[in-house]
Amino acid sequence: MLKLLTYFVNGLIYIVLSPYYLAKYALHLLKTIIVFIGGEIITLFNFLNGKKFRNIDELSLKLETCLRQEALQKQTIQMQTIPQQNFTNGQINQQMSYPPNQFNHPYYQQPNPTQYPPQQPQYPNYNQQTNEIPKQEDKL
Amino acid sequence: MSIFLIQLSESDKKKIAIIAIILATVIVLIGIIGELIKKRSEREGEYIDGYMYGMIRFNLITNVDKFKSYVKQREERSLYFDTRWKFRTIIILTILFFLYFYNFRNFDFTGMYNALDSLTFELYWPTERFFGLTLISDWPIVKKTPNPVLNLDGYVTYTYILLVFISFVLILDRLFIHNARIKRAKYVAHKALAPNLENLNQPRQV
Repeated sequence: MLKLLTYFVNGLIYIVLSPYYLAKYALHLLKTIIVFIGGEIITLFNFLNGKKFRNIDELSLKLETCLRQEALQKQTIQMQTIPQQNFTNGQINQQMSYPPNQFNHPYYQQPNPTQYPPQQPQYPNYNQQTNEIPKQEDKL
Repeated sequence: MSIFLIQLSESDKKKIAIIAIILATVIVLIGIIGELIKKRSEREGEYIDGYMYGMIRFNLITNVDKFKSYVKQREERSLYFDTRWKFRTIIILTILFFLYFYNFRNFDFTGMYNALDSLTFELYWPTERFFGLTLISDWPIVKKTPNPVLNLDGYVTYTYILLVFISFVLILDRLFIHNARIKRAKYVAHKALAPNLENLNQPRQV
């Protein structure tokens, strides 16, 4: 009921103000016609000079450059951020680079130089055929 | 007032009640339509946030006047690009329309007038004397129904009127969007950029 009353009051206000709105709209329509004529003149001059009138301005180009730079910076930061992984079993706490291979694998164990014949590197659960990384839960 | 109401007959009271209900319904409908237009205006105005947010974030625009003038300039350009083909359609159609009547009818627009006249209704409104006033007392009697003229003049006129009307409505709709965005720019510019003493000690959100 209160909503209906609000609509009623608003309706009365709109009826009273309608001449103002109509006059304003008519003025804006006139302005639109002027904008159209101006735009056509600019288009014509640009066409005669072999250019094209585009919907681009200096500031929007600057904004585009800024956004591109920001996106590039974000991408660079993401590339530089290397996940730190703590492993309890292999005493390995090394930075893993991308893409993973058998030498930068977190479970890779350095061969003991004092042992002869040299011990082969150990790759627990490491599938060399598929180059698949074992999950930490599997190791544990 | 109460004496005046007592003097009225039952049918008069009914008539007044019906008129009051119809008037109230019309006013409420106008209110609802106005609210819908207002909501649409607010929704359309939010478009400027999309590009102005970046402008302020990267400090490309740093004061209120520049904000308003940039939005105005950009929106006017967009208005031109969005309405130019509608205006051109109206101009081209008008030229073709006049060329048709110039070439084939020797500037005799009788065919056009007949075609337009055939689309109108003609109603007879029964009236009654009511306290010295002549008021409508019943539903109207239809004296003439629309009967479109289906010859070449008629087709040309109807096509011209229809296409011009559609173009004009689309231009008005785009103008409405333009006004909504300019209004939003005026409102937001102060909020986003005007110095506020209350927030003096707080770091500025960029």
